[in-house]
Amino acid sequence: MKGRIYLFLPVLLLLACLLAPWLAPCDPNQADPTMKFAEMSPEHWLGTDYLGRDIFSRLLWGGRRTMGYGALVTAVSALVGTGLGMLSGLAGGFFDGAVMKGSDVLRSFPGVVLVLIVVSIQGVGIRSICLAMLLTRWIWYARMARNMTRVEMGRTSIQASRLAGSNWFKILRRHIFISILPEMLPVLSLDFGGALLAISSYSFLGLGILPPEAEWGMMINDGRNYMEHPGMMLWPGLCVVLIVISVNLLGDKLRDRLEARRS
Amino acid sequence: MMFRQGGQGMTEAGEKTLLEVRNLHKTYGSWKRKPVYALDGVSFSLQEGCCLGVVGESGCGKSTLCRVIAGIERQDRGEVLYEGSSMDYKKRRNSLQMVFQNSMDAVNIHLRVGDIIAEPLENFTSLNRTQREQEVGRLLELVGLSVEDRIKYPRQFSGGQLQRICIARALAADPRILLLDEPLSSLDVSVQAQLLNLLWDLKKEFKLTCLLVSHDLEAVYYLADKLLVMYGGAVVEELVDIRDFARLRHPYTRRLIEAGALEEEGWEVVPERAGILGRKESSGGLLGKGCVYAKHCPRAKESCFERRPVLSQWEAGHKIACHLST
Repeated sequence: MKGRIYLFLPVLLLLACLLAPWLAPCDPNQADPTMKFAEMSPEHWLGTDYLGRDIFSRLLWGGRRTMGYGALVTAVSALVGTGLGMLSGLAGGFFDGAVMKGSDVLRSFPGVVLVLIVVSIQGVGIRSICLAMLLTRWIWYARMARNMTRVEMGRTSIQASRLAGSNWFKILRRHIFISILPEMLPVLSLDFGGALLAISSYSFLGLGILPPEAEWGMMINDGRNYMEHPGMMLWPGLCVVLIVISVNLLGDKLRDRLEARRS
Repeated sequence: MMFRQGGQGMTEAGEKTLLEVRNLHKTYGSWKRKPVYALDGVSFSLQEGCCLGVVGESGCGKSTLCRVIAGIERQDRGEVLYEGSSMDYKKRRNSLQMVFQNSMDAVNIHLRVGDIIAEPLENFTSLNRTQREQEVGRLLELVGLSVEDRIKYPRQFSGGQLQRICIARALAADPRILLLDEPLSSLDVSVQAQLLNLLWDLKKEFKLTCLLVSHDLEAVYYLADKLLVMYGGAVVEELVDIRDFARLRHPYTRRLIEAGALEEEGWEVVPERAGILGRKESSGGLLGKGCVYAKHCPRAKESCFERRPVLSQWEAGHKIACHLST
């Protein structure tokens, strides 16, 4: 039961955000200057911000963006990275060298600089941020998948399944993928946390989601100017922290579970 | 030891040559290092229903022989003939199956035992899922495990049980020839005996043609019909009928046997080391000329270092590569 909370919390937050159109009591962008900095009340559960917008509604809608884009970036980079890494490890030789050198080159750019470059070409917006993040985030997966694939390839079990008539595709899918999965899952969920943080950070810097649309990082940024009303920063900040922590812990739990099941 | 009457000899063998190996050569190494000769002109033939034992110390190339025949590695020179024609590993994959030395590493620990054994069935047969499950159950019982074991993971088994699983997987492909690459090493003695009995039963039941590679002469004597003694990548002695065991006379073979005998008397002798030391230089044709065993042979003469002895007939069904014996 103890482990469930890690699963419970992110799922709850995720569900709440997904159901934002039905759950949110107010329009997240509906400004009401007469209701600036309202306290918590039945009408505005978590109060209102400096434009009189309902914080709770903005949290729900903002979470959709933060988590949605985070999940998108993580999923795409994990898929591309793992796939490429596994192929690279399987093929070895020139292809392996080319992929790894390519990733080295990309990795040598500092992530922030890459984001700024992409933003300067593509313009400010969440699309640029996602693109820039994708450019570097797959590398981590590719390297891990590649190295683990190399290790797996050295096992007799791979030779045994060649003898059992399996082709390389099947070996990749059935033997290598399943062997590296328990190692990849915690990385996946850690990376999801990282992606959430990154998206929030870039929005906080004003490079990601553009106002007036809600997003957790941007909400924190908005709250920065009104420290005397801590609610504006507290709630989105708490959401980010909670989801990142629980996602990280979930990753660890997942790995433990998978490892335990097999021993 | 506790083995049954060994050396059953030519049990219905000798009619049809199933596998023939001609002059296999294989070297390891790169442009940086000196090559190591793992196989140096190995030839033999294997008849249907016959079990060929290959003995020799570790590093003498017997595992390489297995791997080359199984198609895991390619030879540098020489041929592997299956039923008279060059082995086609794509088409006849299922007919040559192998049981590996280290059973722990030979199975994927993330797969259930049922899936491991079903893998050849998926690839080689057109059975559907339920038929495959039945077949897996049958195979599990055949190797002395229970049907319920198929939902377990490899880590729940001991080494001996895992080796049984590996044997079941090899049998699932319905092979004509089973290559056993030191199936007993890394197992303790009582488990070795159990596994030998299992192999014996399987051999008798299915008239399996097999190649048993081992450094354990006793195990080979128990299971094999023919015997091949290897040293330094070359065959030094060949016995067509293992019942003539007592006639083995190559100096290296004698030492192998003595090592085994000493062990029985409680001596700490590793049969693998019967050739003793300096394997690098003695490994195969590195010397270029001379007998592969000359350096460690207690009876080596001048001529042993100069000319390489050829494997030649000593008496009916007994070939030997030694100057002293011809």
